[in-house]
Amino acid sequence: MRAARARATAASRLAAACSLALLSLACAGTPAPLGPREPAAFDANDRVDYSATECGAQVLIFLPVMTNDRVARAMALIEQRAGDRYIANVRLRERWTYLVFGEILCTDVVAATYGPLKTGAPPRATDTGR
Amino acid sequence: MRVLATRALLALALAASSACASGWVDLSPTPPAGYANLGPAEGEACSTYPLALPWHQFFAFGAGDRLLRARQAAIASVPEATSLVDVTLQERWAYWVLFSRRCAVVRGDAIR
Repeated sequence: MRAARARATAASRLAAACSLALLSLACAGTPAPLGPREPAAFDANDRVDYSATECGAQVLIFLPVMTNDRVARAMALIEQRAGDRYIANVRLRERWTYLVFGEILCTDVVAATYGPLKTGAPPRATDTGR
Repeated sequence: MRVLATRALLALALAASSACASGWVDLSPTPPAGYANLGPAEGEACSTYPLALPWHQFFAFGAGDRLLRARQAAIASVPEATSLVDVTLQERWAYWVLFSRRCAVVRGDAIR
């Protein structure tokens, strides 16, 4: 009788530990490059802004769906549109909408892109090593 | 009875749904003309959800300004730094039973 009770207690503790382990989750997204890259050589007068919005969902709070890499996806879109242009002044805004069984997360990205320097013109910004 | 239950569920869904937004943050301003590269910098800032149930939205802290705080922390991690170049942003997320955290990690080269 006592042995059966001890087994039941051990089983319930194991079940509780497994439940806690299942409810403890963590993950990290892809690092998104935002510029401004070096060397900073661009024509400040040739500026075009591009924007992108990417969203993900946090289903039942602990199930991330396309959440952690949304900035990287938005930047990939902007880089694709920008081509060889110099990317800087990347502005971000986060938006989130709470629902009954989860959350929608969106990131708005607006990036300034600059054309290349005209031949012979000095670079606008340089690492002088000062 | 079914109509009442449907209305109650709709009212609950409406009450539990809300939307928020952070301010705009420029994470990679153009560097000034003539700058010194001071080396790698890193900063992290998190939003915290102390009661991470489906209705945890009533207890979210630090979600509105975590990108700004992460950038400021990265700049502050290198003495005399005033800005960053070659910036990357990474998101980390963790959930422990009734507690959730979403963190933004800003890395880059500090400049002045």
